[in-house]
Amino acid sequence: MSEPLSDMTNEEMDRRFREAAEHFIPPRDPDAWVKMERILDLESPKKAYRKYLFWIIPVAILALLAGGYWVHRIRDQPPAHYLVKTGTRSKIPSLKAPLLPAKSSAAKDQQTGPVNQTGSRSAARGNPGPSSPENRRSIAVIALHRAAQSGFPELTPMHQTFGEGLSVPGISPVLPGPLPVFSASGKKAGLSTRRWHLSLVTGPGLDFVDASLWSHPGGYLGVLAGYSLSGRWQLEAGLIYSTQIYRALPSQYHPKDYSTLNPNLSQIDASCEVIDLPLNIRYNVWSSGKSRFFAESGISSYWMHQENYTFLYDNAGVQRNESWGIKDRDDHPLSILNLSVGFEHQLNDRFSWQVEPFAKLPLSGIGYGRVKLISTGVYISLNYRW
Amino acid sequence: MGICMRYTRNREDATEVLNDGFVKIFRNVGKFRVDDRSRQVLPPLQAWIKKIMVYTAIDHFRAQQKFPHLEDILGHQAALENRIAGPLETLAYEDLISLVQQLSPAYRAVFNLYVIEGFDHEEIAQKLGISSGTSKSNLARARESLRKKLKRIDERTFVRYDQ
Repeated sequence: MSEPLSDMTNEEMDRRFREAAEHFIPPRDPDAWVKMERILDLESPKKAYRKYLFWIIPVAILALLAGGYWVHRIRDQPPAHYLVKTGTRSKIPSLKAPLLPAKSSAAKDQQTGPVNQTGSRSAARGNPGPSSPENRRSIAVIALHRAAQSGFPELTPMHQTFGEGLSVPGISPVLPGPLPVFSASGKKAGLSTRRWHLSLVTGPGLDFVDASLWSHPGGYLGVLAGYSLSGRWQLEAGLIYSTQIYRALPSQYHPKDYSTLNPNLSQIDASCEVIDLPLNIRYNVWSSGKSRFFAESGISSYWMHQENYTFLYDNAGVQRNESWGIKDRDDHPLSILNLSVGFEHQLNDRFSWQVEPFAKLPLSGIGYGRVKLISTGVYISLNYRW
Repeated sequence: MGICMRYTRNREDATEVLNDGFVKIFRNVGKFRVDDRSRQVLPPLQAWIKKIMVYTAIDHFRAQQKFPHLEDILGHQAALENRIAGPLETLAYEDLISLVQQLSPAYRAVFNLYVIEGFDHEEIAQKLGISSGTSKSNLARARESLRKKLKRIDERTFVRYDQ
């Protein structure tokens, strides 16, 4: 048995305590790390771009979609010199080279005369250029040089619309495959004309009172029904469930039960389940083929299904948390202004998908703290029309 | 965290000191410099972090002095004595640190700074805003208090062995 600890000299006792301090490793506390992460988040440098991040993201997505669609459209269109107009022979000279088979001198002899002849006849008549009013009624597009080189024997009905200018002896310009057909106005060829639609909506969202105080992303899931008033205007209403996670300062938090808040309150973290009841009107800004761009605006009513708050108090550097929640207590009719733009693409006559960056701006305070909550995000929808 | 535990009365307070210390590290990490002659980064970084934690603990001690609160020392002591009345005759490191935590804030701060960190009384007096004599007096009382606590534990331990 060793001597009692209390009989040690000061030096021995100091040595024991130094040794204990050196080797003491407290057990790990996961909650402490979570708390520290939250505090360090607040300490992160506030870069200027973060203020505008949630506006930049939706705009960038829309710009990307528009750019992609534009590139897609350009790739589908043949170069201008392949266009042939009805009621004119003005393009014949430009077709001369592709129409001449390179390896057949006999064919060359046969073709050269009439083509040149036609070309000079056209020039003599003072035929207007391709941009003249006479040529605006375009109905078909062909790749003539490919047709001449392919040497297909038959003439498709499409080619019969070319007119006299293509009646070249010994040459039957044919196409290797079906040609894209555009309507006279060049749009709406593939868009459904059904008036009613039902949309399944989902997507991520970010909520904040102050853009520099954002917390974690939330999400949206809902159903919308719509009715087309005309080709361009459309009404839409429905129900969207959302999780809204945000962070607020006491100066932004105004519960109606309290005229003044605890002076030690330093921050409020909120996580709310909200039922959003939107009533929106949409305007189809531009459409082409099976796609359209639109802008939408409207009013939302919020029903606060579940509100969970964590209040962080700071008393001279000593911090503590307090969590609290309420259910189905607050509703806010017509309290949010909806703004969005989007891109819709028709899959077939009944189904389409769309991407819709949005912003929800407060017209009044939301939730227990009556905070001016701004929400942004992107709706991704699948639409069914009937 | 071990440093923070020594300077505070419980784990919650230690976590607060740790968080404050990390915020200071986060803000000032750009100012940390390693001597060009030193080939290792980790030892000076550890020393730098330790220094920040000690100074944060001192700040916390000063804040506590302005806003004192009641401590349930008796309850804490009883819990400790029941816990360490085990078969081992010597106290574990954790138990010794727990004894330091039970000291009053003023004794605890001086004991830590003098015995563990190795500062002299002049330096301690400057850091804590007290006189050198108070520092010496607090150290003596801290030792006396620890000795009493150890004696109580000894008595319980020997009683158990005698049975």
